[in-house]
Amino acid sequence: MNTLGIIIKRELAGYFLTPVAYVFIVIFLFLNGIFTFYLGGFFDSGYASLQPFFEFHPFLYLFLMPAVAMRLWAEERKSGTIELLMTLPVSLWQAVVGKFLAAWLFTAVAVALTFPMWITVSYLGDPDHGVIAAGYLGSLLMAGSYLAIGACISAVTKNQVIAFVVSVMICFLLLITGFPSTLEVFTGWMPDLLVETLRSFSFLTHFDAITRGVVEIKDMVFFLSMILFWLYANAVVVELKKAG
Amino acid sequence: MALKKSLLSSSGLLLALALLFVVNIFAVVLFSSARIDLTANQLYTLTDGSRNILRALEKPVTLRLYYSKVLNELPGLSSYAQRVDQLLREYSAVAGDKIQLEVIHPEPFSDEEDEAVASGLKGAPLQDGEVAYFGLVASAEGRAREVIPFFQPDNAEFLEYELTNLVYRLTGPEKIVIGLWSSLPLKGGGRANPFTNQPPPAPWGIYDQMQQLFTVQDIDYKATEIPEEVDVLMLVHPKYLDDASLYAIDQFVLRGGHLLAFLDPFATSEVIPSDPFSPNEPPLPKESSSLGPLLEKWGVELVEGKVVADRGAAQRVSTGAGGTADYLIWLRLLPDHLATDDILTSRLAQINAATVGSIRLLDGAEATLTPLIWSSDSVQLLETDLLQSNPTPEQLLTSYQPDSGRQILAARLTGPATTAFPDGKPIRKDPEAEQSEADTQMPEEETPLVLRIDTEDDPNFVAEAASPINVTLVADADLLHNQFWVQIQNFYGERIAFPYADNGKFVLNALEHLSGSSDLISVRSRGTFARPFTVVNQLAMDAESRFLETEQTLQEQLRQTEAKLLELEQQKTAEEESLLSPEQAAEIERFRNEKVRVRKQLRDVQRDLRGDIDRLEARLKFINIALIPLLIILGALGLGLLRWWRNRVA
Repeated sequence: MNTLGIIIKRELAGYFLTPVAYVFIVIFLFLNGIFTFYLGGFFDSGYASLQPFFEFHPFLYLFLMPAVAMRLWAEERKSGTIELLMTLPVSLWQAVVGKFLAAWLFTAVAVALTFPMWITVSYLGDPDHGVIAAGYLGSLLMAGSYLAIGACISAVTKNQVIAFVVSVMICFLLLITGFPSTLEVFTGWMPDLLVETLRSFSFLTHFDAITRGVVEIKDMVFFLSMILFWLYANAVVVELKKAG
Repeated sequence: MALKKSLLSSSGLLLALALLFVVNIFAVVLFSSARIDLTANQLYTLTDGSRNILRALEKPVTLRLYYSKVLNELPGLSSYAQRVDQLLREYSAVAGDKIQLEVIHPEPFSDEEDEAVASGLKGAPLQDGEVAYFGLVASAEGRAREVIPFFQPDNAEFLEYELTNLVYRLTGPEKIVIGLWSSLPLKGGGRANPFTNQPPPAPWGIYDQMQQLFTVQDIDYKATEIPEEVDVLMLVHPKYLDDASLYAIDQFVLRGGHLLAFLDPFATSEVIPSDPFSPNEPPLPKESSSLGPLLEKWGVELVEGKVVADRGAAQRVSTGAGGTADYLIWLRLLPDHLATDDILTSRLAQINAATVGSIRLLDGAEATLTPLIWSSDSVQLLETDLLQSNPTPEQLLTSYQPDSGRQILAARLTGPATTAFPDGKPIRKDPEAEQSEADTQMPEEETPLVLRIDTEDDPNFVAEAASPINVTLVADADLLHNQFWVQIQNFYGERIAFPYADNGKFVLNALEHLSGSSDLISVRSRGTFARPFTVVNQLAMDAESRFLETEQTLQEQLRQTEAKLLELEQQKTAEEESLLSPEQAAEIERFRNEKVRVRKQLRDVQRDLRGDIDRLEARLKFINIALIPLLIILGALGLGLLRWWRNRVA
């Protein structure tokens, strides 16, 4: 198995061999369910659509994804195993991408465990499966983006709590730029083009677009470029810390 | 190594950030329309029909979308507004510079608001008194403005059709002219009823929709000529037409004119008023449509005096006492009864028809009949005379005896044809008699006005069709009536149609196809946005019917109990007033208690109506919220226990 695969396996083991994974998954599923039925009014809506399910994901991920990502680098740094990692015949990129992919895979497993929702809505009516598939795609992309940010921040500090808080803040900023009320603050004095650019840099805008069932190139480009950028930043941080 | 080092530096990071912005801006600009539409009905992709029409635009069109920002607070409207905005941008993208799109957010008391109102937009008043706008004004040089006064999210599935239609009307050829020759009051209007002070009836939904697409020319019922500009002739329930009128139709068809005829052996929707001077006399019996000798010359017939009773396609109606029954003469025609490979019917979901006749090819006829709509394979042909006495659904069910195979209910007719008037053009002898009926649509009985011997030489006389005739026949006129396919609601003075069956689509498809434009047809049949919880609805319906049964039983018990009580009370007063035997008192008490008990039962039944649904909800909540977490916890605990036990043992 190639080095990347080994790294992914190692990280995943790190997740699943501790209570961390199970606690996280339980909380994730539980909150998802509660939000969908009670806050989203899924059953009351009478519509065979998973909109009430997906609409809370940006906010759930806001706290849960930094939690998954915070241990990726910070823990290694704290326990000193990062030096060990760097001496192994593992390239920087493999380490960065491997850790990220492991976290993403772990999240994918958690998301996959929400399958009863899909079954439920199919039982209750005749939903548009294409739209639901798009929703899952958008959800995973967004999770990936949050994770990339979280991973990068976790490489900056030894303290997992700080990593968590800072990641949440950054993700939060990128989330609220999509809100009409936030943009209002800027529409007064900023040129329209800038406001539009700000709006188009929100996770919410692109996530909403994908969950409607249409996967636009610009949305895919947004999420993928975000992930790539933060992975790159991650590598830079690790490299800089290594030197210093 | 050196390159790598310099890449992974803080300046590299800044570069990367800039790249991030650039890439995304490029993506937005370059790939603004590139997408994969995963929705089941391709809801976010323009149909080919729209694309064709947009690409063929010759004149520039200006679209002004007015949207009050305050509507963003209403989530349903704001997401629909996004959809509308996005769709309009697509139109603009496909049509290039032929469509100019402006999005305007009118502030209260601004010039833009005045503009909006002046153009014909209807503002919706909000809770705090502010008026919000969400409409479209479309204009093209040299044409009248087209307006969508207020976008209705309920009509979401027709959005693309409405918009394409709008653009088409603004730039397409001058509207096709439909000549409407009808014995049923599609146009509405007429005088207000002086006896009841009711306003004149509104036009039928189908008439409204026809007017949006075409120029509808109402042909006088007694006409003897079909105006030249008529492209498609639409005959609705023609009867008592004399030879002079029939001649006009005969020649129109033989010359290659397009005809859409709704022939009905019994028109349920027809209202035959009783004679105001002899109100006690029953109204005249309903007559079948008739085109005299014409149909025979075309090679077909409307099976005389018969209506199709179809068990397999019957409409379920409510029968008064809270029950439901299949009404055999009201048909609910689903795609398995429609020609899915024909452009007229291919994407229709349901057509509701009532008291339908049967179209048959005559023996030895050279014509070709292409069925569009048909009945089930085993039906009963009922005499229309039976229907004059208004039989109930149950009566029809008990006397149901299938005696015929599949019947054709609508079809395209083509083939050679000859005139029904070989001797020449019939002329009415007494022109003054035509003035006797002032403004009603109801035809008189056949009067001996036409004298066949009086024929004129018509210089344009056509004895035989030069090319195959083009006629679409439908054996029902009732399907045009609102009650079978659409609900019309009043929205601030505008009539808005909410169709629930595809009768309208079918008629418009037919008219359009007959007039030669098929692009709009493909846009018209689209998927739907609405996907309800069928399981929950079914539970609700089942609960309702169970409730009705129980309610009826309990009501009956209550009635009996009360009657008994009354009887006892009356007995009491019949005898000595204040003297009540203990037995009588006990009995009254017993019945009083009974009454209270029954009332309580009724209330319980009402409350339990949602019982099934609530139980389903609770079960689903558990499965989705707690089930898997519980399994995981149990699994983890189990694993932990296992490990602990192993450690103990080891």
